Amino acid sequence: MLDGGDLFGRPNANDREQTRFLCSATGDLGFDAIGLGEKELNYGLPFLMEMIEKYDLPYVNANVRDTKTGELILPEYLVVEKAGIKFGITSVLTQAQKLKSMTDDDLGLEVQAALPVLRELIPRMREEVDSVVLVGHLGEGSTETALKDVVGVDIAVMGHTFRNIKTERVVGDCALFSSAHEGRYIGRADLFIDATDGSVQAIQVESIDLDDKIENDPDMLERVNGFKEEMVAFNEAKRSKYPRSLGSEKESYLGDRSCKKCHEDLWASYAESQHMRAFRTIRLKGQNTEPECLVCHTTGYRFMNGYEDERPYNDLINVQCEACHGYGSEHARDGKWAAQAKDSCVVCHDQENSPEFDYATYWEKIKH
Amino acid sequence: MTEAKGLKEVWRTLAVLVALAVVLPAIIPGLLNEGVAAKGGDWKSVTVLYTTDIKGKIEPCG
Repeated sequence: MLDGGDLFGRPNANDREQTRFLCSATGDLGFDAIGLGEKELNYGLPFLMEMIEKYDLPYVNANVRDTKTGELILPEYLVVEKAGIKFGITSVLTQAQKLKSMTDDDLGLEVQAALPVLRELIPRMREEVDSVVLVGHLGEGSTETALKDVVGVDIAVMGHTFRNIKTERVVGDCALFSSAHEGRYIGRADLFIDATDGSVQAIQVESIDLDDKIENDPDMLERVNGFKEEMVAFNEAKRSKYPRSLGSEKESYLGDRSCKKCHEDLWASYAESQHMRAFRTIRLKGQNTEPECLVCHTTGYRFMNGYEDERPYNDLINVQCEACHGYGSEHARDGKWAAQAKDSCVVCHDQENSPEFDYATYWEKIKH
Repeated sequence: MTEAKGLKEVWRTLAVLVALAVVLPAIIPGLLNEGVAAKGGDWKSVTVLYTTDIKGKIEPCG
């Protein structure tokens, strides 16, 4: 069994817990090799290493090195014996993605160009094994380019894809199997392999849709359901750190469109600021359900009648006027500022999230 | 009458295709097995299962 990488989820706490569960299940499924994808670094290198060690995950990669030591972070290739054939399995990662985690933009890792690495490595592997397998986390076009350039790969599985691709093909002397995407499919290739030289004949290749027609494994189903219950408790614990206890039940947030009706010039200034893009930045990182992020990327998250992160949702995304000035209902009633806006900056622009914050400098960015 | 005869031909063709669909998967691996054996070498039967880009999902949405 092979996996082409990007087993891990998006860079947020929920996905990290889900990934932890997935790693435990993957370890039990008995994969022979898993290629390193860039998503494997989403929770940092120590987390990846913890998963590898704890669940005995056979990760492999030949082109990601520690910048300081120059050492590979994972085994360069694995040797697996099946049906009397010695397979050498390696993987390379695309250079197209910057390696970063949810907390660190620089992991101190270098991704080397895949082709020179493979040109040097494959002949060395062939001296030791009967058949060479590449689990390439390179994407559609680059995998084919690599196989046309590098001689000596017998079987390749393509990772770093964004759709399910069913078309298997022969590139040079290599049988290339395409992706079986997002766990919705599993690819199966029945092969004849010549033990004397590793050459391959495929007799049947199929992409199996893992839909309701495939019966659930009772033990795995029980584990998944147990995990879901754990996640409910996990999410409740996270949310409880940010109780909706501030403000007043009698007051309401009116939303920036209401402010615009009387303050179009001020609203125009807001519309040009990063405050109006605050939710987008967490959505792009998959963090838009994280309470600790929502506190500062929405309006009134900890206040009564503020941003709702459960159904029915409301329009209070972004750091709108009322995030700094308080309930619009108060202001609409007496025309006064409901809050001293200046003091509210440091609630979010604190040492942890905004260490370079300086009121005079930052004010220029939102001046209104 | 001519139309009915034509339909009978269609059904006969379909019946043959269905029969082939059932029988071929069973006999082709055997034929190929003989084919690769005829080429010489030490051919072994291996099944590769593969997944990619699971992206943290434990079940599909919906």
